[in-house]
Amino acid sequence: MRLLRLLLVIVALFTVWLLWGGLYKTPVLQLGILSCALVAWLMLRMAEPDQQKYNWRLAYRLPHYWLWLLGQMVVSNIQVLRLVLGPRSALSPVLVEVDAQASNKFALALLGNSITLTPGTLTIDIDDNKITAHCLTAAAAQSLQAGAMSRRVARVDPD
Amino acid sequence: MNGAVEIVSGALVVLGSLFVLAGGIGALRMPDFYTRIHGASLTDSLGPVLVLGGLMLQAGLSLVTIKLAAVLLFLMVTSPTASYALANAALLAGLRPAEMDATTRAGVINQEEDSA
Repeated sequence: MRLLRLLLVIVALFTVWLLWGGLYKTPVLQLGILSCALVAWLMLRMAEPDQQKYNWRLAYRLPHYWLWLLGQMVVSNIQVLRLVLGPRSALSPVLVEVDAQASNKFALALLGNSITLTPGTLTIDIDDNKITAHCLTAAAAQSLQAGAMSRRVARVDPD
Repeated sequence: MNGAVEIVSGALVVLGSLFVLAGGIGALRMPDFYTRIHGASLTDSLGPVLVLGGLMLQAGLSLVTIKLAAVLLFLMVTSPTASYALANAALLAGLRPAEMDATTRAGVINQEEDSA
């Protein structure tokens, strides 16, 4: 059963390689098979994925969330850009704890990565449902603790 | 029409490169380990979005654009994960972030000036 799943993974990966590569020469194909096998081996070494069912509603909720996240990234990139080029005295780094309100591991990972992706806040520890974040300024810490991001993530994947 | 697209895409690529450059400056200028990660994170958030966005405009509607979008998607997942691995490893190894009130901030600045 496990072997079958492994074979399926290799076949799926190799199909993607063929579709995207568009180069059908023997050395390229050999390299493709080799790297697909490598990925499958790495997957074997990873922890058994928990049997979490894929939620199809994510397919349209996630892009919506990404658009919002992109807007946040623009704002915080400009803020950090000014901090980077400005005087060092403007920095006031603090650690804050955020209540994740996440219902599963996917939502937790999404929130952790979103915090890191917006400059000025950095996820440094995830513990059950608490995320510890390092913030570059007190203002960034306050806006993170206001919790707009964790509420949005909770709405993306509520179940 | 075509010229306008060229100009916009060129501007996006240049702007993105400037963000990447600023990320490098940030990694050098920030006072301690964790704040350096913040500075460097400019490199992997808006930088690639702008650069790859500009290249997508160049490529138009084609397979190349889909590939670029996939690259962007993978980057947006992997780079914060890598940052987390780095920061979490430092935390587990016992490196405490400098929580700066007025006195420690002065201390860090003095240290910087001593070593400079």
